[in-house]
Amino acid sequence: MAFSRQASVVLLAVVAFFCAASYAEGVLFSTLPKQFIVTATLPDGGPITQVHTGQDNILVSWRLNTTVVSNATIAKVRAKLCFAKESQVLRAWRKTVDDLTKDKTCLYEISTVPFNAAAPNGTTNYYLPKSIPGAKYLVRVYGIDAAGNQVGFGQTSPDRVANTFTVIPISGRHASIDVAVGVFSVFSVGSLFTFFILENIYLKRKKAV
Amino acid sequence: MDPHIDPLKIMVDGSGRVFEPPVMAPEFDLPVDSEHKAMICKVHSLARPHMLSFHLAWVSFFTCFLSTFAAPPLIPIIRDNLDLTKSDISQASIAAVSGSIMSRLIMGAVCDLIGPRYGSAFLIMIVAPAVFAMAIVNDAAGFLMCRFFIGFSLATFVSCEYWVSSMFSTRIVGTANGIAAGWGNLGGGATQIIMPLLFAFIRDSGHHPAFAAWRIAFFIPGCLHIVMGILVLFFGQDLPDGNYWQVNDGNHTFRDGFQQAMYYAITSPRTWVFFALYGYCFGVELTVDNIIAEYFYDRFDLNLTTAGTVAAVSGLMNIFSRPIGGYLSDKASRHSGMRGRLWYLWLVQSMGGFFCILLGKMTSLGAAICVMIIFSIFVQAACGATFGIVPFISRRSLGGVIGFTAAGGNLGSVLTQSLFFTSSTYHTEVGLVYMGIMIICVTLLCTVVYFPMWGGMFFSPKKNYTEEEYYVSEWNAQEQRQGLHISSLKFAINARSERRKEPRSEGVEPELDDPDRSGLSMFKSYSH
Repeated sequence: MAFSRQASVVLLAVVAFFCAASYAEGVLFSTLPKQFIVTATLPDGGPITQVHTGQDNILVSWRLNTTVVSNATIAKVRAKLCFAKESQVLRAWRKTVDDLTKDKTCLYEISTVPFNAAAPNGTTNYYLPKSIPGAKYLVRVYGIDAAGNQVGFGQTSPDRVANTFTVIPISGRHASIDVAVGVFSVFSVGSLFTFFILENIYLKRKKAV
Repeated sequence: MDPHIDPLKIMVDGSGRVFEPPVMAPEFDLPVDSEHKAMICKVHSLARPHMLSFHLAWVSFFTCFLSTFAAPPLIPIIRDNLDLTKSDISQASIAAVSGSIMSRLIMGAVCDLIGPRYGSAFLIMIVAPAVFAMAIVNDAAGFLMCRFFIGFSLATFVSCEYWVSSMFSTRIVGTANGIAAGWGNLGGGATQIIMPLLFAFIRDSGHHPAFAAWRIAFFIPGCLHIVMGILVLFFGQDLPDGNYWQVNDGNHTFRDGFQQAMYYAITSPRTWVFFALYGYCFGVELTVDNIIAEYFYDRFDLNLTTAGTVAAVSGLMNIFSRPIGGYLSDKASRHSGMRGRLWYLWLVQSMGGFFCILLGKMTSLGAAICVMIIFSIFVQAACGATFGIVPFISRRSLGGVIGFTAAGGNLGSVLTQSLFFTSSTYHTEVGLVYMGIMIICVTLLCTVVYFPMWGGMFFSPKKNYTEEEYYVSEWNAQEQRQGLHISSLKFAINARSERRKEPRSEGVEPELDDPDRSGLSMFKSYSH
């Protein structure tokens, strides 16, 4: 009895912990000022139409938007690859939510660099990793304060519809996988029918005896 | 009444129970009954033929469950690689369980015709190419086709149950079926841990990109298919006395045609009731296998491996919950016969529905995990309890009945997924609540099940209607003259264990005087 009481106390504590943990709120995207002007181009400076993962680079540049004034001090600048609206359709795992702790619009981080108010402009050369899925994207840059919260942003597309670019993914298939599939499949079906035929021959011989 | 059983030689054990003694059969390692079926189930043993076949049956079923549900824990990677939408994913999940509706029906007849050994080996090895083909799909259509064909292999459930029912006697058939099917269903839980771990290992240690690693991971279930198929062919045995082609038994040299084999399953109304009922314990279990990893990944923001582990816990309950479901069904039968089994089934399945409703209402991770565990235990115990009853519905078409019930399980999964987890109009958690309500409603069908010799939940048995009449009536007069019904007769006598036990009145001998009622087990009456 004492054990079951202890166990239920522990269980209640665990449940209470999880309940408490789930109520933390984050920064709301709609409150962020548009402090940065961001451009994403090919490394030679030309506009991006489509790029391949595992092969191509994109050049991300940002500068401060002097018309927007904000009191917050920016400690770091974080660039992220975000989904365009058309790549979120029917895909709830990429959903846009105003609370940035729950938002799934920008799942892939490009880089995080320290921010220097004296030299606020920056660029990053981003090599697209093979894990990026095929979709339409834009680049968004967040200004992060010392506590790690977002205090400002900028993005290459004004509404996540215009000025987006296509990323073409790898298929994941190799010739060796294709060959292995063929070999194993033939082996499976072949060994089954071989056994069946041989056992029937053995049966007929036994019955004939 | 079988003339070979002498009522005076029936043994009485310590609690006053009367039962058939094991027959003398020194060629077997385990005590066996008159049909040479084992009377105990020693899970740690590999004794031929009973225990070896038992282990082959459940492990091959485990393998098929593993490969059918290998995709769900990897969905977060696959959906990015193949650019899937939510409806693509749910259609593929539905396809995975709908393919086996037909294959389970057919497998029932196949087992009646060529035996469970060939049935399961053929199925496992022919489906293996579909598992390998998953490694080369490019789009939603290919993904759906692969999941559809891999899902066919869930018909090994029928061959597993058929095989176990052929090897173990009526007294423990519920327990043995529960263990075999429960451990087989474990594949659905184990795969949620195994596949993400394999994926992570291949990606990190093998230095493959994620989109190649998940494809390579599918080779493991595929190879397991091949290995198990070969083991079943070499070491499996259909019946205690040999394979189908060896045994010169009245029931088996007589080959029922396909239609004949299904006829006695289709014409029994009980088959159709269980067709519906099983959809709301096993069907629900399949649905949860399909959606739960993604549910925890998306709703509670867990990473892939953690979401898979949490989801696996649901399937892992099968280690004990389904066997206990079968065991408690056997215990209920020893206390109240078939009526006890029916009441127990209704209770356990309704509790599963209740906890499903509760699961949808949980908003925090810890509470959701706890409720999910309890829900899984009840749902799986209900599956075990169902197969404590199913072997008694028909003897001649045992395979057909198992096939129909199993197909109904899959149809239930197709229905619940289509109704509650496909559209975007409501969230998964609301779908869970609605599914729980539907479970409770459909489980009320238990009240309708009626066996003329044992009664139903609210109805008494017909007077003087015996088990022999029920099972031997499946054979017409001409077939009986040829003696083709002998094994049904033997089964009928062993099935007397399902009679309701009556209290023994003071000073009266157990009914050894009345030969028609011998075999009735009696408990001491505690009412006075």
